[in-house]
Amino acid sequence: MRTTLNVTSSPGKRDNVAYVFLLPWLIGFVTLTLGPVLASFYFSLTNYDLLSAPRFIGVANFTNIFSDPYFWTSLKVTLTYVAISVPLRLIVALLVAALVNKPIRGMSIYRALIYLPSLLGGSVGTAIGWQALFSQNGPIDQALGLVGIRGPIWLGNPNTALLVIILMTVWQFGSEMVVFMAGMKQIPVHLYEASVIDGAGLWTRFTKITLPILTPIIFFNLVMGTINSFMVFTQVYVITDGGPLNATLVYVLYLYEQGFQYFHMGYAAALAVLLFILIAIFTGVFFLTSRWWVKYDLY
Amino acid sequence: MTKPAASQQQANITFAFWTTPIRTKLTEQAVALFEKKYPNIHVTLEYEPWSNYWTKLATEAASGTLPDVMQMDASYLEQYVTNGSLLNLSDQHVIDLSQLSPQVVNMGKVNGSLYAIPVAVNTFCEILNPKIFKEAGIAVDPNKSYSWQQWFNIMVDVHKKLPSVYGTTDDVYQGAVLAYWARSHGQSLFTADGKSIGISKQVLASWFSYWLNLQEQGGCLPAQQTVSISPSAPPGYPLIKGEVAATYASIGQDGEIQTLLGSPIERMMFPGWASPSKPNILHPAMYWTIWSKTKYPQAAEELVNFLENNPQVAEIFKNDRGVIANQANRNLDAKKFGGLVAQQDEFMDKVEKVSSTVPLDPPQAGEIEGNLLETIGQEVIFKKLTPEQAAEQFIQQADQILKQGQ
Repeated sequence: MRTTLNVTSSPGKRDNVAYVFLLPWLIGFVTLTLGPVLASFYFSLTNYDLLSAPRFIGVANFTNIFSDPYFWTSLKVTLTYVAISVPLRLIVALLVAALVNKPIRGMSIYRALIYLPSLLGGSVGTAIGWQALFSQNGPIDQALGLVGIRGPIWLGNPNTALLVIILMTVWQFGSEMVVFMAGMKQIPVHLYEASVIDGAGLWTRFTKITLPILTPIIFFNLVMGTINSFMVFTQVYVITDGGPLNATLVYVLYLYEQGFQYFHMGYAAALAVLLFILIAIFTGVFFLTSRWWVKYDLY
Repeated sequence: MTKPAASQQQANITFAFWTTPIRTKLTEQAVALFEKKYPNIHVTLEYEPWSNYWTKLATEAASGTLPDVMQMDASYLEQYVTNGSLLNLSDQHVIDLSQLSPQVVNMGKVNGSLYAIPVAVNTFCEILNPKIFKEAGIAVDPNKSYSWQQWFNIMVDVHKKLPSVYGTTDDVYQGAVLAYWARSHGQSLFTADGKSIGISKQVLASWFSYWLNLQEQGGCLPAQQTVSISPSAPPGYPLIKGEVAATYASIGQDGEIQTLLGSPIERMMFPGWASPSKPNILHPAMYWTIWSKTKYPQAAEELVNFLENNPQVAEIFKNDRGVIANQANRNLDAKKFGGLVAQQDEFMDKVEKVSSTVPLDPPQAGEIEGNLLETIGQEVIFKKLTPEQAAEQFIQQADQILKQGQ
């Protein structure tokens, strides 16, 4: 006879309970995410304009994509955007995290203010405000004028339009910064104290202690940031609508035009499939190369 | 004849339209009047802004749940007829068409059968800011038919006299004006069967040259300013800000432009309007259509008839949806309200006198006149393409788009 009360049920029954709790999320995932993704794979092999039934055409969409100059343009624009905005945002987030990670009075207010833009995120209102900032003779131009610089027509010049979008993304570094700060708080203070005794300066402490220990977090922000960057849409749609001269025609915007303005749904689905593959490749490469620079369990 | 028994049954119909906040209020008022007159018919409204409306409608078509009465646009009419979504109205007796001119009724016919009732007619025009012309000391007569060259000179003159102002907005990628240019030269942007581009390379190249030269001499906004006009800005924004003396707009936008500008505007038809080729066309602003599989065709037709012909509805809507197609109501409104409504009606009457009728645009017109023309037009004004190269590329790519859609 058992002397202890067996409150927990058998392992099998425990698993069932877990699944019951998972069920709501699971149902949502399957019906609202997995299902549509699979449907998208199917539609990419069809000619579908929403008004008539989808017509199977095999890989014709994909062959058309590769000879579509706008596809290559949007790919180039998106890769440029990712290549510049992701590292820039990470660097700014890291540096500012290091700066505000000090127990100075009022620091929490600064942190909240810095975090605020990322909360506003890709909202339409923020985008409209950003556009007004960079409009001709708008606040930015006026501020530049104060120091005697004649600002370009930010949103009319194909060379500067993408920069405006990149700046908006970088401006929202708050969320990465908060994650970095959480990571920094975990670094044992004795490591810094020991290094100071050994004569390490500020820069050495940062590069030899902070950075290596933070590499898992940098890796996390890098992967998440890259995936999100590939999917940029709202700001571009509101501020430039792909212009001028397609200088800001990001991939998802082109996909949206094809699917929802011209009703080439099959073609848009094929574009989505390619984007999925592209992001998967980038993520895969990040994970594979991580073993060379991401260090866990350093202390 | 209306069957009394059928029209007494309870009917629940849905009515969908693209809208602005103002139009929603006006439509609700009109539908409330309708439900008072027909207590057995209940109408549920479905409305979206333009950009979402067509996606929603297409989704409803795909799932077989289209609304009973739909506001329809000329650029989508043929598609919806072809896929069998619209009720053939050729033999119906409920909707009274006697107050529409035959020309106008024909705009709702596809392949000879009536599928759509034109609600209102629209046109585009040059909106002028008389203050700027006065300041520049240039006399402009909005009723005169200037030639394209004369107008070119006037626009350049504005910039010469007022260096901080440009003559006009750059209309190089306004599809409607390009089509007008084609007709001015006796051609047409699309062939009659809608299967290929009808404008010749020379005429198209001359179009691009015109705007390129105009830009060079300051007659229109420089390229970077043109492309930096926000997609969400109100119509005629450069005119409102005082950057140009004239701008392209559709007749329904003139009221808003005048209000935002804060001073009276003039309306003028585009250059060469009096030429024998009659480049102005009657453009249907929108139609009422009925779903082919509606459970309540009688009720749906009653609603369309009410919206189209009831004078109280005309008083509520005024010209919000365009200049009213129903002639009797148009005259009633002009007399009763005067002001903006009368001005728009008067301008429309002028345009109708010199208009020709043309076949509907092919369904890919939106993509060609919007996306393709914008891309190539921008490359011209940024000097990445010569007018000749641009014309060649445009015709080639547009023909491809038209071919793919068949």
